[in-house]
Amino acid sequence: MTAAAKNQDHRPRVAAERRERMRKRLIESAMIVFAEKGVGASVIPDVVAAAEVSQGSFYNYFRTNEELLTAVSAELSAGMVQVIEAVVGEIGDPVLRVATGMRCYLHLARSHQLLARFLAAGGLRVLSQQSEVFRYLPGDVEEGQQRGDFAPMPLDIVMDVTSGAALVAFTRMAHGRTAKDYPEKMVGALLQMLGVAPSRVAVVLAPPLPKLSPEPASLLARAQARADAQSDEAAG
Amino acid sequence: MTTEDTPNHRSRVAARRRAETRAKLLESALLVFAQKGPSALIEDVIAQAGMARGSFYNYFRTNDELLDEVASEINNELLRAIDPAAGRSEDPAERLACGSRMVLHAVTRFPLFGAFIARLPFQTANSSLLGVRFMARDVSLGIMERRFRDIDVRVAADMVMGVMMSAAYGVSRERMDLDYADACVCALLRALGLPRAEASRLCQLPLPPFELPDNSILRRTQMFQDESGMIAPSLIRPN
Repeated sequence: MTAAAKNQDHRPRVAAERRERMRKRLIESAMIVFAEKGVGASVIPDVVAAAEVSQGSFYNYFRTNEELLTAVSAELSAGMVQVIEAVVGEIGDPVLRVATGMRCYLHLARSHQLLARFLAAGGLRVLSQQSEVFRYLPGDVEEGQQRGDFAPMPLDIVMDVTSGAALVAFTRMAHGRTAKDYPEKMVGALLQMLGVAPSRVAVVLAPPLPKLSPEPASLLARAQARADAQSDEAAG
Repeated sequence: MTTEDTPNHRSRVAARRRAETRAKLLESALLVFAQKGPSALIEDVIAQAGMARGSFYNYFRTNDELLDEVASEINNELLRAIDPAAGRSEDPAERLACGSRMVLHAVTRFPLFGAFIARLPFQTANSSLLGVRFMARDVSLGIMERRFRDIDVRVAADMVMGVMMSAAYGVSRERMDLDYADACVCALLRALGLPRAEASRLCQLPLPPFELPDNSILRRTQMFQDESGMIAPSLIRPN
């Protein structure tokens, strides 16, 4: 800490920390409410109730439903990218990179039902806003297309059909149990769709994935823990 | 007219009027849902239809019931128009290619329809729209005949759903040409295990002519929108 900072009144810092905690709390609550009720309806009263804040203080943080949705979506994506990149970052082969990245994304949703529910409720509109998670996809596919591993196809169509397939998978995982290898089966079909030969698909899906653990401080981990506690409470 | 005919005639008139009112409500709902999404309220639909709240409830009890009805009405229309035309080939892959291209071409020609589908809650769309149910038949047949390979039935059905939904969403988001629809179907056929060249060939076959009847809900609402100026004429694709 610099001398200047030491001399500063500690009150603004405490206030900023409190503000940050409150913002996090609202985003957590919002994710749970969106996952339950969908993203179309106005959720602000439910979020206010779930976060146990006053309506007035809510509006100090977010003005609209849409702003809240964008905040949830951005924070979630950032956390997921961190987890996925830790696995995918070192891979050189674009086909293996796409395969592994998509497997991680689907497995995260399979092991965090709250995430699957949120993404399913958000639909294609929210999914296409999750640009962070799909940030590397166009580049990876383009590289693979140049090598002839992926079929030639405009990249915007690649993005559209990939997010469509992912959304169906999230919806299945949000509303019921799926087999442990369901993500691999979907990613396999997805790779075939992008033009990868079936023999190659089997090879790139073979390596086991490491355990995917989001940071305990990430929105995904915090909100899932809260949702679990709530359902335990309801059950007990 | 005999005395016996009078009640018959009256009930016939009443039934016809009821059917007309119901059709009008479905039309209004399609317009409102396409603009506001499935969370649009019954109030909006009533206002659009110019109808009293009380009479609305003689036809539909809830928003969801209305939404389901609109979805299945469109689905039936499309099936009636597309299924016989697409079903002529012996090859399930060719039938699937033809049917899904025709559905997406219809979505491209009726952007309002795409907007409606894109905003449906996924479960509703899944159960009743885009002809996915009739496509499921060709998917299973294709797998049984080993025309589609390296994919299981359930995953294949999910891919059909995902691609059809995203293509409909793409069309509703911005004006797309028919090549976009064909490229999406081509991707779908590859997902089902067809080799690249075969998938491309099936997506270039000439399509049989297909027209929706004038009294179809898609045609009526598109005209409706045109008149009230809510959709710019340039957005409406010439047939």
